[in-house]
Parts: sequence; C-alpha cells; structure tokens
Amino acid sequence: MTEVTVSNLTYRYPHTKKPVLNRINLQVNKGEFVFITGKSGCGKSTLARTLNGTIPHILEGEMDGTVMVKGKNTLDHQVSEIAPDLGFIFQNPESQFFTLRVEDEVAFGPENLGLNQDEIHERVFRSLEYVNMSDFRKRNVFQLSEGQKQRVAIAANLALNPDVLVLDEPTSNLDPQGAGELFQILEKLKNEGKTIILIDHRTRYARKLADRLIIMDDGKIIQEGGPELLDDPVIRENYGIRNPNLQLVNRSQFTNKHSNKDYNGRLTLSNTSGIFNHTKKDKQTTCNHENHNAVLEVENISFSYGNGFSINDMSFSIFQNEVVGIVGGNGSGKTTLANIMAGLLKPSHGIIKFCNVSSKLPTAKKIGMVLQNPDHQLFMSSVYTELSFGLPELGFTSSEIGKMVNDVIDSMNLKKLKERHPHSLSGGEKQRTLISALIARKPQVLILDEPTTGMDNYHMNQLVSEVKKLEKTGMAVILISHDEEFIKKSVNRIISISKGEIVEDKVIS
Amino acid sequence: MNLKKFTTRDLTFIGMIIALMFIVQAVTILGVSAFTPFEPAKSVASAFFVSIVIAIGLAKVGKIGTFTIIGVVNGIICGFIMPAFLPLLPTTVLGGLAADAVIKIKYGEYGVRNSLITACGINQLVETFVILTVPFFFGFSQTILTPTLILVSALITTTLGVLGGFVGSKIVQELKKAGAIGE
Amino acid sequence: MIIESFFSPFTAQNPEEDSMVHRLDPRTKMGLLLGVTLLSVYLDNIIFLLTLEMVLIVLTVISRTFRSMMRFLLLFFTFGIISVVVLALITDNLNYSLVSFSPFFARFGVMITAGLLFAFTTSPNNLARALEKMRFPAPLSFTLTITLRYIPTLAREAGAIMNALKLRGINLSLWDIIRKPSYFYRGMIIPLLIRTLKLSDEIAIAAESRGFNGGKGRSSLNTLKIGVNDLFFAVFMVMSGFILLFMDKASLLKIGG
Repeated sequence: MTEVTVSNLTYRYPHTKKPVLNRINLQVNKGEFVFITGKSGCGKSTLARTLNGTIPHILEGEMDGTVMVKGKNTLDHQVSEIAPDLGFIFQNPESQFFTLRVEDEVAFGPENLGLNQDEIHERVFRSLEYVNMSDFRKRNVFQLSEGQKQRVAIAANLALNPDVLVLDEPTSNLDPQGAGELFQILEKLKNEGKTIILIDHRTRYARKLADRLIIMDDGKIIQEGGPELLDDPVIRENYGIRNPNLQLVNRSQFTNKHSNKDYNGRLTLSNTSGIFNHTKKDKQTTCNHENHNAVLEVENISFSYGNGFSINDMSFSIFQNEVVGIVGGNGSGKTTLANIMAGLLKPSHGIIKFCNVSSKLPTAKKIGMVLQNPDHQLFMSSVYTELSFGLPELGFTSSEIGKMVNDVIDSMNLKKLKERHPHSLSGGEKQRTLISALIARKPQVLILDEPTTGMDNYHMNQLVSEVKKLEKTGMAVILISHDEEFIKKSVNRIISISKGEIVEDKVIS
Repeated sequence: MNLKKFTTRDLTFIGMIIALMFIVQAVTILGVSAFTPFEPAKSVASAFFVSIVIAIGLAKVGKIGTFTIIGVVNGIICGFIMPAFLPLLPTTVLGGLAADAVIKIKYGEYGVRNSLITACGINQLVETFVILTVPFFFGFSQTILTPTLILVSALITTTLGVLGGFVGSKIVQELKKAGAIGE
Repeated sequence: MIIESFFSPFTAQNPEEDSMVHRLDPRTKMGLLLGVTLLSVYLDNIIFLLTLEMVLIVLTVISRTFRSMMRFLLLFFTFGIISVVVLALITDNLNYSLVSFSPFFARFGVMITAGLLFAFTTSPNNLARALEKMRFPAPLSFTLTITLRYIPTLAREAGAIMNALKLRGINLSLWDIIRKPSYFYRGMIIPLLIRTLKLSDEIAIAAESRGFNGGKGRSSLNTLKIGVNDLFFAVFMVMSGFILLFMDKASLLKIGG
C-alpha cells in the first residue's frame, strides 16, 4: 500500500526562475524506510517540505503536480490536517518547542487535535516512554542536551500517532552518541511498521537502516536503488555524498579510557612531547623569544558556568602551520574552550598567551573565529563591504584595507560574489565570506566552530582544501567539530576533550 | 476585526516582533531611568526604537489589525510584569486601533512606505495623549502636565514615531535585498 | 544565562519548581495583581505601603522566587536612590527630596513586586490558558505565548551577534553606539531582524506540522480550575487588604484630628 505519492512535482520559490524541484515522481510504501540524500541545494529539504503541505500552504511559490499523503491531497488539506498522518522532525529542535516543560511540549500536538484529557495523558506517557525520556517529564526543555531535545521532538510527533515520519537532517546538531541514540529509536519505529522518510547528508546510520536510497541533484531524482549504492565511490564522488563506511579517527576520543594524564590529572605538553618529536622538533612548553613557533599558549585554564559544567585546568600550545582538531561530544566543553581562546569568555584561572605578537594588540587582530551560525556574523549589504567591516577599528588605514580586501578576494575566489548581499548567499558561500573576512587581517590563529554542520561532501572537501591553503600560509588553524570525516581529512593534531578535561593530545602523520 | 485572516505564520511573526519590542523597551527604559527620573522621557526614548520594530512587523504582515494585536499583547505583557504600567494596556490598544483604522481608510493595507510612517506616527500620538491623561483620571498619578506640555510631548513622540517608521521602511528595503522578506 | 532570566521572568522560572503560589490559578493571581495595584494607589501612609510590600515579599519567599527577583528589586532600588539624590542636589534639600519621592517609590515598589511575583510563578502556557478561559481569542493567546517563549531566545541571539562583532574587533558599548550609530544598525539591527524572520517561519511551520490550526477546538493536558486553595488565598488577601486600608484611613484621621 502506498502511503505517500508524489507525482510530477515542480516547485519554484518566489522570485526565482529556476525550479528547486523539477518533475519529481516518488512513491513510498507502508513500512518502508526511504533515505533521500544529495548535495546542498539539490532540493531534498524542499521536497520534505512539500510532503506535509508546508509548501504550498505556508511558504509561497509556484507548485505544479500533486502530493498525496494517505489519500489526502496536500493542495486540499492544511498542514494541520495532515499532521495526524505525517509527523515532521526538524534540524533544530529548539525552534520546534512552544512550552517550557517536556510534558507540555509533548501534549501540544494532542491538545491541538482536541483530544480528551485522559487520552492526552495516555499519549504523552506512551510517547515519552518510547523515546526513553519518561524520567524527564517535568523537566525544563532548555536544560536538556541536544540529543535529548531531539528525542523529545520525536515524542512530540509520536503523540499525534502518525503512520509516516519525515525527518529533515535530524542529526545535524548531534554528536555521534546522540545520533546513535536517535537511530536506535528509528530502528524500533521501522520494526513496528512505521513508514520513515529520512533526508540527510550524513550517511553512516542510514546505510544500515534504509530499504531504499534516493539521490537527488539539481531538483531531480537521479538515482534510485538499494542503500548499497552508497558504497560506490564513483556515485559518491559524482553527487557529493558522504562516505557511510568511515573509519573512525579514534574511538577513544569519546571515552576516558586512554587518557594521557599526569599525576594531578592534567595533560601537559611535556608528557606528550614524545609524540611531538616525530614531527616538530625542539618544541618546548614555554614560549621564549628564540622560539617563534608557538603562536598560542593556553596555560592552566579553568572556567565554570555555575550550573555544574566546568573546564578544569587545561594547558596546551598551538604552533605555526598546525591544524588542530578539538573533538569531543556535546557538552564536553569544546565551544567554551574556543570562546575562551578567542577572548569572548574570561577564564576564572589561567592565561592565554600569544607568543610572537605584541600583547598590546587587540585580540581581534591576533585571533579569528568563525562561530556556528553564519547569520549571526554577516553585517553588511555586500560581500565586498563585509570583508572590510571592522577593519578601521583595528587601526588599519584605508589604503591598507583596500589591499587586504582585494588580496583576499583573489585568494578565496570571491570575485563573482563581490556585489551580492551576504545573507542571500548559500550556506557554503556565507562561510567562505566569513573565513575571508577574518583571514584578511592575517590573524595568527583561526578557529572554526563546527564549520561542517549541514555540509555535503563537495562543500566539505572544498573547506578541507581551504584549510590546507591556510596552513601553508603559516597560520595555525583550530577546528572544533564532531564531524569525524572532516577532522580526519584536515587535521595534523587532535586534542580530545571530555567533561571539561583534555583526555588525549596526539599528532597525526 | 477578523482574526481568521491571520495565518499561523503571521501570528508567530507578530509574536516575535513583540518579543523584540519588549527587549528594545526594556533596554531603552532602563537606560533612560539611569539618567533621569522624569517619566515622559521614557516614552519619548522608546518611541523611536519601538516604531522601527513595529514598522517592520507591519510591512511583513501587511494586514489591517496587525497593529491592534501588537497593542493588545504588548499591553498585557507590560501590564503583568510591571503593573505600574497597567495604564499602558488601554494606551497601546487604543494606539494600535487608531493606526489600523486610519490605514484601513487611507491605504487599505500596510505596505507602501507612507502607510508605515503614518501608522507609527498616529500610534505614538494617541499613545502619548492617553498615557499622559488617563492615569490621572484613575488616580494612578497625582499630577497632570499642563496642556502645553502634553501637546509638546505628543508632538515629540509623533515625530520620533514618524522617524522610526521611516527607518523601519528603509530596513525593510534592505531585508528584501537580502531575500529575508518577499517582495 | 543572566541576560535571559533578565529579559523574561516568565520563562526564567524552573518548571520543576513548585509551590503553593505556583499552583494557584493564574486568574487568582491576576486578581491579586489588580487588587494590590489598586490598594497601593489608595494607601497614603508609607508604613502601610511598606507592610503591603512585606506581605508580597513573604509570598515571594514562600514561592522560592525571592532570589531571582532580587536582581530586579535591587535595580529598582538603585534607581530610587539615584532619583532621590538627583532631586536633593537640584533642590539642595534632602528632606524635601525624600518626602516627595518616598511614597512614590514605595507604591512603585509594591506594584513591581506584585508583577514579578505573578511573572515568576506563572508559565506562559498557563497564562495563555487562563486568558482563553476569560474568552480571550485563541490566536491572540497563541501570539502571547510565542512572545513570552521567545524573548529569551532573541536575547540569546543578540548575545551571539554581539560575540560575532567582538571577533571583528567591535565592542558594542554605549560609547561606540553614540560615536558610530551605523555599527549598531549594521552590526545588531540587521542580523537580529534576519534571525527573527527566519525563526518565526520555522516556528510557524513547526506549529502547524504539530496540528495547530489557529487554536480552534484545542483541549488541554491539565485544566485550570479555581480550587479550595484559590478561595482560601483570595479570602485571606481580601481581608488583609481591607484591614490595611482601614488602618491607613484611621491613621490619617488621627493625624488630621
């Protein structure tokens, strides 16, 4: 029996000429697990949005063709009428929450259906139990981890008891552990005969679970078949798809077992110098004027948010030409550490030293950091002016600025985008603009915080080569990420963090 | 007023716009309070910034009634968190209603720059008149300003509202260029 | 964290926190709010205004919200002192300044405490339900919930934008804003609005895909009911109010007589 039928679907966003979806035909049968992938901008998320009627009811545009969900034509039924048949889970759980308490959140859907109180209680209880969150019933949604939030989001959909579930990049914000837990739930749902449509660029878990793979490119379905298609490197290369069979960089990075700690639980360079000596000679833990290689030194940094989470006594140095990956699960303290290094947070103990630049320079001149969401970081009305934004504040003269900006436009290949509004760019282009804006001022250290969120294979490789280019200029690059493939491809040193402490620090040849 | 014509998308956007207004009001009122205990200074200071935010809300939603919804919800929030501002509830509601009524007659709906500017100006005019007179009649305030002072305050806030509406419409232009608001 | 709790008392509360005041029906608390506001207007003697303030403080202690509320009250207190000092400096008469400002600030303090007590012990969800019970249209109560729920989110977005500016070498201090308003316009207003627009679309889609259709025919997990507790509380508060008012007027007569 078919649950979802898409026939001859074409869709165009308002004020664009090219259709995002171009004559899509798709049938999903009851109990099937369909995995839809493809590179960024291929139309997969747009397709997801047509399935529950978001397009055309909430988002405008021109739609041709039909989408039928359990016999209902989405053109004739509002999104809220399709909701009991088809659940929808988004990338960012936080924007799906309307209340403060887990229980109220899960009840939101059944309340909208106007069910009676006993029935709502029953559904809330069952759905929370299903995703293993019963103990969190009365908790504040803001205090949950990203993985827990996403599980609550699933429970909130299950409470409507839909037969079909559509998930649009549900694991983007999750660390491997959170993603693993999410897929356990999906496996359970699949075994119970629910129909699942997963849209994602991450392929590892889907490879094992999916019954059918659909690859999209340029608004069309271009390949359909079993999930084993993902193993074909030619197909992956052609359509910018991530490798599902990834050798993990190092499994121990998320556990505490193989830590390299000294007697007081602190990891210092002296006890890892054995590894260092293979690649970098005469490195010392202290920075003196003879040694200009260490660009950033973190000495005995501690920090606490006052809610139990803290960073304890971290020390390490970063050297020129190094690409360092800082890895660890959600809540391990990676981003906090990055914020401290970039001067956004003041550590409660310890100091950050920039060795071969004057300490009088403002931090913004010595260190650059790209935060997670590009929307927070783009300010001007054209890429060209964006690149020079803030430079006068750092004391550069206008002729210097002109040269810096033109240099970076050449080296980062931004000529075509020069006049565009930064917010109208695609995700990858926004990030390139941001990195360019920061490297224009030639900082000693560049930090990228989770740069590959939602990124397909093609754009990830592009970023890897940009990082390699920066490495050659002598800049030290720090990558904060739980994207194992990206880390593996780009870094030459990995610092693993768990619960606010360094558990491993090693050089990769 | 027909509430049915407001889609969920309209309502969430109006909700977010009021959230922004709340932040803007909190910041400007706290900022002003730190400098002067003079009450009308607060409404004067927030008039400009709040009008910018409102103008954007009006431009995006476009429907008559938007201003009244903003007035009701904003009034309730201010009234409940700071009951000293309970008189703000009728103030913001009346201001919103007046603006909606005028725009309905003159332009039909919100959209062109002048409709945004007019709406913000009228809202500030009505609000200032109400806030400077109503609390006195209900015993919330023992003193009342002289008619000249009331007139001057109203003129100042109206001007600031008009300016805010103007800046708001400029921002709308830029948001359109950024692709964040549909043309 | 601080900035969030500062910007929205309604969402700063911890839902695990539960007290007698939290459990009261929001309508009872609205009644308390109105009653206290009116009472504060009609009380003339500062002693009784302060007594009323003490009663409210006791309620905040019972509801374990005193600590979070302190920040606001301290801020208010500071403004009070500044105003008194400014007036004293202008008129060169501290006594006059104190006499003319004290009742004003006592009254204001009572209203603010009552408002914060309400906000800190009522979730946006319950407030919306109470309003709906009072025949407030569903679309408006939905808008209200969205506003209250997303004030702290927007404050956090603003914080993230501020960080991004710092990384470009711009500290958005008051002085910077006065010196170069364009930094505030370009650096804060534009990105914050773009985030607001994107978030509001996401929220709308999320609401409808969970069955929201303008609030028609909604039921609820827990129904609000005015219970025995509410009645006891209301009777107790009304009686205390009358006693205060009576004593206040009596004290006036004594002075007058």
